[in-house]
Amino acid sequence: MVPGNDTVDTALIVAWLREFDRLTTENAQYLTELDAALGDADHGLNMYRGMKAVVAKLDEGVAGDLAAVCKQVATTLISSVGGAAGPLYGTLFLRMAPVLGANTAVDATTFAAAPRAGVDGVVARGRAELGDKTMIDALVPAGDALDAALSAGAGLPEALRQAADAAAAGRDATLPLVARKGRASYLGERSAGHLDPGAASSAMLIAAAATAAEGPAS
Amino acid sequence: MTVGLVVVGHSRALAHASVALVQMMIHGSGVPITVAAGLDETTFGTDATAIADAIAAADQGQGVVVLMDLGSAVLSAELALDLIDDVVRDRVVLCPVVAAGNFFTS
Repeated sequence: MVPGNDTVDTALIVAWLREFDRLTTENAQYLTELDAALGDADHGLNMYRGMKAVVAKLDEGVAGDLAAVCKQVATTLISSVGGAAGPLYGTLFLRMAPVLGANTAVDATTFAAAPRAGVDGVVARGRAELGDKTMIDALVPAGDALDAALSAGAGLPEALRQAADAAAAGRDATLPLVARKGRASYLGERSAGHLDPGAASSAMLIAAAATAAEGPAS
Repeated sequence: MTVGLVVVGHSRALAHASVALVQMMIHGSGVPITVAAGLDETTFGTDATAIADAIAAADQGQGVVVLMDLGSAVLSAELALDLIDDVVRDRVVLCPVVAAGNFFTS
């Protein structure tokens, strides 16, 4: 991927997924520690297992259009993550597929509609709202920032970097929140003071996209 | 033909044990019961694609009741409904129960 290139092709999606795998591997223990405070202490391991399965499929060869790649990623995550992140991240990639369609490359604006559809799918699947202390607290601000940056004329790498910054801010903003969804909600007020592990892995997903779009470090 | 049952849980061993117990009690009833539990024999988790397959296997045209434990099993079962045929989906009922060990005793 050439830095500054505003076309999203299969190679960029693959680079995104490989970078997300690198981040979830590097931070598996961290994600599990976050989940130990709020949930059942398996989020890091689950994401590690899921992304290793995704990368194994990529290593076998990437065939087909962007929709086919997204569907394959979705199916792999659904079958291998195990926890709530499986159906949620699976839904995200599943809903991206029809937007990207039978293309092998799309422009930045067309691409931006795909994660937007994916995030809408996650919101519907999880029946969560902003501020419920979930992954959508990172994903929704990221989608907003991506759209705003592209509308303002930013290139895709810059727009995705702003989206990643928004996702990180959204993740950090989950710290004082009281969880209203998932196992963390059983803790009630005691869930405040901990970062949401799903928001943390979601911020990694968007950061990985920005890094992939920026291309290899020179 | 009867309504089919699908048992969805995080532990394959627990789900199979629950079903074995029930099969003993309802012997010869002909009720199809399928299991979609665990990622494999020993890894806890739920898999929407496996649930979709289990629904198809349990469906005799009279409908399917999906019993699942709480939490991510509910999300996976709901995603499974997106993955199956429209005709089958219309005769599937999702029924969350407390936990895999309590499928048939609660």
